Amino acid sequence: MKMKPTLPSLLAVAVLAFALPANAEPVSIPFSDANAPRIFRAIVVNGELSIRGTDTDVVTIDSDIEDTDSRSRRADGLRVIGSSSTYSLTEADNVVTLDYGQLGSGGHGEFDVTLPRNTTLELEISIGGEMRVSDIDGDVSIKNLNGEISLTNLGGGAIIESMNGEIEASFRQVLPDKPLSFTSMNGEIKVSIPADTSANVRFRTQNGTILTDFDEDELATKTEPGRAFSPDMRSELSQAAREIAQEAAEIAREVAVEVQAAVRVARAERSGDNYAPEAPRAPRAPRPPSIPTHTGGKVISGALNGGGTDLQIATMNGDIVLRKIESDDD
Amino acid sequence: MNCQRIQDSFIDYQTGTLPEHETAPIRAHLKTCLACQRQWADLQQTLLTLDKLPAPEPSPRLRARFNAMLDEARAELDAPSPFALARSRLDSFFALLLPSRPAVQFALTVVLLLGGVLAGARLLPQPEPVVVTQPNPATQRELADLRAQVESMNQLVNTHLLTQPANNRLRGVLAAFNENDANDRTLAELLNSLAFDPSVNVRLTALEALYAYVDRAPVRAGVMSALPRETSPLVQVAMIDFVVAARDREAGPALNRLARDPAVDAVVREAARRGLAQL
Repeated sequence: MKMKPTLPSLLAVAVLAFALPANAEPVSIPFSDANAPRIFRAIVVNGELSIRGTDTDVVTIDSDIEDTDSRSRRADGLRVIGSSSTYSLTEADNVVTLDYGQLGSGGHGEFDVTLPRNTTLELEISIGGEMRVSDIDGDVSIKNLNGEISLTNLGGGAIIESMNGEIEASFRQVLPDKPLSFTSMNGEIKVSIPADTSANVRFRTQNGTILTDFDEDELATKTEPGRAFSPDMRSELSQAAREIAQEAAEIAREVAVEVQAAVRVARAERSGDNYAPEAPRAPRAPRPPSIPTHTGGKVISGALNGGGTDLQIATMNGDIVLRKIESDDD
Repeated sequence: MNCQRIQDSFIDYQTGTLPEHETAPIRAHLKTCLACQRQWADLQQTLLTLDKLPAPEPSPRLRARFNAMLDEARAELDAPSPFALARSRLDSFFALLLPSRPAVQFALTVVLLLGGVLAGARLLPQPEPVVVTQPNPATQRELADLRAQVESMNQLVNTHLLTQPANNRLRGVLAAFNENDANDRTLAELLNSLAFDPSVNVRLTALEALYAYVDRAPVRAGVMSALPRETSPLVQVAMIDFVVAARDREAGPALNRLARDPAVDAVVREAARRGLAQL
């Protein structure tokens, strides 16, 4: 359902006007081409970002910092081309860029952004600040140096990088060609995905614990051999050989299934049945081994519900938690 | 007129090359100055002595040497070397053939030049009219191959780090991850991502993808060279795991440097020390 673009943004502005003590008017900027891929880029040196996706065609920013448009003139006829505390919002080639702090020094700035749901986001905060993103179906790429990252109801790919801050992410859907990747130096990473997601998971932590509430039959993992001292070459080799044999057996089984299906189709064709051949499922490629840890960390790799989207979580000093979201219409 | 100047002009005075207006002052000075008179007398005595010296006679051997030289030259003239003979023959041949008068020589040169120009204009092939033809199948196949190569080069450029958003770069690395047998180009792309990608996530994934090819020396060397430049502790620890799992003894010095560098994260230093213990 697509409402007229003006109404939801007006609503959003009205809501924001109550929510934030906005010193400046909310600023809207449209994308040049509504049908081409839309990208929203934000570089905030010191501040907070709150992004929400809705049914709209324009990017609306509500902030307590003034927007600078170096082309417009003030009442006294002067243009502001360098200000002490201001952000810039520009659009070029369907990329809307919000830039705060790179133009000059500025204090802490809070930004409330509303934009179309399937926008691709590229966000970066250097100092301070929480980052909140919700209801976005496009790919999300976030770099936050010191601050919490909280993602809700995402529907696309995600690459999240944090230095000192928790990452909490929940996904409405996980698609096969939209990989998810989270890295954090000092901070917990909590990811919630639908219970029926198929994923290849790779978890890596140096000083943390890896926890999940998926069952063992849903999430089949193996812990990479990790020793702090004196590795035993022979046992590693035999383990590797066992893994290779397992993968080979799996492939052989899948090939046998394909052959059976093909034979069935050939027989049906010969007898003239109206047999609709099922599309052959491509055999799953053997999963490459993960780098084992010899330096005291933990590496776990596995397949969730048979394997699919790539899900990678890596931390240094923080726990990894993988939760499942039970669907409501069960 | 001082005595030094007078004495310097004695020689010229003696030989008579002094101008007239200068000889009179010298004569006047000489009449009065005792020192100059003495100098003049010394000069005259020196000249007289020089005149009396006998002229040196040439030694008797000079005559003998001269006669020998003369005989040699005469012998050469009578029996010239083959080279000289050939040269003289050539010279006389050409002298007979060509005129020796400069004007005629010049005229002949001009004639030759004009003749050459005319002959070239007549003999050179005319440029053929350009005919556009369809290339034959072999050429077409070559063209198709070249186009495919250019396309793959384009793709290589398109996966260039700074032009693609992070999610696309990650997808590219994951595609290489899932290939069963990567060719050199894929490995080079992975090493490139490992060394230069701005996103920690992409670098980590590239490293994990490269682990499947840890037995190949170029891969190990690539990871080794990226290790000292890596800044993210997560990727550093993963690289340490990589080189230890590869049993790469050459990583020893690099791990040692990491373990001692105070700018490096404490966890990474500890990991480097543990890794060293196993190499």
